[in-house]
Amino acid sequence: MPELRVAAVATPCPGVRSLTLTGEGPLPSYPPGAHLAIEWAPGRRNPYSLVPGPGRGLPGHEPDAYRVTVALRPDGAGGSRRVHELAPGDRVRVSGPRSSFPPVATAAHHVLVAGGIGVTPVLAHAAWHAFWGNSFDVLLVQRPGTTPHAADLRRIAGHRLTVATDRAAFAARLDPTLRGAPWGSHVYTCGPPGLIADVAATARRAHWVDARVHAEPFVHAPEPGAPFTVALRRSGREVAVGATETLLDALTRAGVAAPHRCRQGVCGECATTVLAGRVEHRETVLADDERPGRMAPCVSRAAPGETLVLDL
Amino acid sequence: MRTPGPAGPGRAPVLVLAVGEAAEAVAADRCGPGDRYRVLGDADDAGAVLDAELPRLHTGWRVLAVGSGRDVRAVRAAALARGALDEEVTVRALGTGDVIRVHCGACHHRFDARAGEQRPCPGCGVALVVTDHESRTHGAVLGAPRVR
Repeated sequence: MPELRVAAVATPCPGVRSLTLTGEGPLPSYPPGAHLAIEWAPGRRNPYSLVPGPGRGLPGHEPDAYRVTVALRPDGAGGSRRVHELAPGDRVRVSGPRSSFPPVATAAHHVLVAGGIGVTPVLAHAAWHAFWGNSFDVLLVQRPGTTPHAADLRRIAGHRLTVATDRAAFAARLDPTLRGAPWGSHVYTCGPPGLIADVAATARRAHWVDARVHAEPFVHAPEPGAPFTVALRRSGREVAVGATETLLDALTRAGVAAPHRCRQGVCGECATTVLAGRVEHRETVLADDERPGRMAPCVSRAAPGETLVLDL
Repeated sequence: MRTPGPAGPGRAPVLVLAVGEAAEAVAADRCGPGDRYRVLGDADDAGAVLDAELPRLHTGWRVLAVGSGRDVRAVRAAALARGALDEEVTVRALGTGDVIRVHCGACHHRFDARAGEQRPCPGCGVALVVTDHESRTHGAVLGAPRVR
């Protein structure tokens, strides 16, 4: 895992920290919507969307630095607190960039929706479309003064940016935007789960097919559930999973090296074969026909009363 | 991230494209209030008709092609080439579908033939066998050079 140097830190608004990370010369290119995983404790990494730099070149192409903007989550596991402690000159271990929220190259028009700190990947998308002269609109939901990069978004998107400061105003704008979107549009949302669900429901009411609706959820703490037990067929072990820990945490605690990356049920890296037992699926990456016999241990759990047998 | 959920109320509006006289009546029956309906004399006109129609539509519209198997494949390919997704295009094939569009694997020339037929490509003269390997993108089946 490469190390980068913290070249600068900034506080664009209360509770939000921006980092500029540099290496030895230009860094690997990345597409809009890509994220960088920053290690905040041994074996623990959090993904943060990369935001474009101030230059006017092709966004993300051999950048001189990686830039992330991170909201502090005092009740989180510790990733954002670690980022907020970093000072210029510190070194951080990173992996990526990795793309999980790219624009669709064949889209005739792009509708970008951001809520709060979800502005970060949307800013990257907007910069990309502005550079290439693509057709796009941006809807930003924010409480006044609380969203970083609002000025950057205004500079990049210009008249294509609409800002809503409450949910009703947002809904009143979203519905006609999606109903009036030209043939061949795609919509991309980054924000809290409620915003993502609202956009998806509005798109479905306008008869959009799911393949035109894209979303990237915030990092959030996994929901607790009932304790359960997993049997590991290959290693012949049994692991008990507590109510407030994830299956992936329990496997790691037991010394089982299970592949993983996002810990959010988004990337699919940890998808594991289930040999027996019913699963309560909580991820958002496996298609309906991929779920039977598979699960994402980072967020999904056994269905109530079930014991799972995994191919680990 | 995927965001599946129940479909919205009502039926999506449809652009109905009928190719040939036999398709007209069937297509008219399938056309509801708020839909758009165009009759094409030839499937090769699908691209031009879609270029005229799609700018009038919004995302959420569907495309329905009605005609012979050969013709609806061509209409579907034209719609996919203009950004339609598979789940937005429906085809209703009429008749026996004996005649199919063949895409020569050697020179990419296209011509009509019957399923299983063996004949030289009118474009390059290579001896071809008409396979059952269909390309949705090309709206045609593969004409594979015969192995002697």
